[in-house]
Amino acid sequence: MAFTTRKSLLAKIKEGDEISWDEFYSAYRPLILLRGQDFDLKPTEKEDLVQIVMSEIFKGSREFLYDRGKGRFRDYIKKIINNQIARILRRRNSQEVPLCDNDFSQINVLEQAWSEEWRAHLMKMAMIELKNYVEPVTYQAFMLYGLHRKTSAEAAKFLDISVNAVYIAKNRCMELLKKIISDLEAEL
Amino acid sequence: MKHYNREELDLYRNGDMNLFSRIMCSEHLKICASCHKLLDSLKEDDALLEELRGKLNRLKHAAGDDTVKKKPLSGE
Repeated sequence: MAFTTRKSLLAKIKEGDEISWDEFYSAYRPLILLRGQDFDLKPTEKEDLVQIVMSEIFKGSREFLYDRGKGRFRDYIKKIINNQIARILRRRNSQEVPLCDNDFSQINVLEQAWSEEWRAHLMKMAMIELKNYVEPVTYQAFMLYGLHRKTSAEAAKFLDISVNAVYIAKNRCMELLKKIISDLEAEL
Repeated sequence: MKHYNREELDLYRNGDMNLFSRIMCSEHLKICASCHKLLDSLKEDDALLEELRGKLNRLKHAAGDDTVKKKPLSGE
């Protein structure tokens, strides 16, 4: 049961709804920056990368629609990011700055890195989704005990619930999180 | 035979059970495959949580945000 009625970004991608620039930017900026790191892009180049990837996706509009006919979303965005990284590296090369070691010749390593980054991104999105499916206190208990490594007693005291309730919250969230991640892996 | 649920096994493995209950649970786990399997699944969840922490931190550092910034508890 969802506790909010706001449609998530993932639902919009899956269902082909319009997605706003701001929503997409906050969700995908970390993934794009992480990909930029694989190629040893400089900080300014990574920020440029975010902007040009966003521009490529939104094409001057404030909203975009994902056409599922383009294939899986993960492949669609990977292709855009990689193409823009290649442009940045070519620009660098034209300025007679040598390419970094992590160029496209290390394709297997880069594919593995992308898989890890995509999974990190899915986990982040899953955490956002999870928040919509559980009571706030359940989510807080999970965050404190599961993510922030507080003891069950500390989390219980802070939230004024029992230690057993902390474990119930953690197990409930883990169960949902696994399902959400699995669904995302299948659908995106 | 009384079986244990996830929360009881969490209490057991994290030392939140009283001594008597802990001994009972420990003896039960020696002979009950299904409870042992449940205990193993909790350990798998621990591994997933560890991965989750690592991945979220990686994204956090890449983006320079505070997605998983440690939240202070009262009294800290």
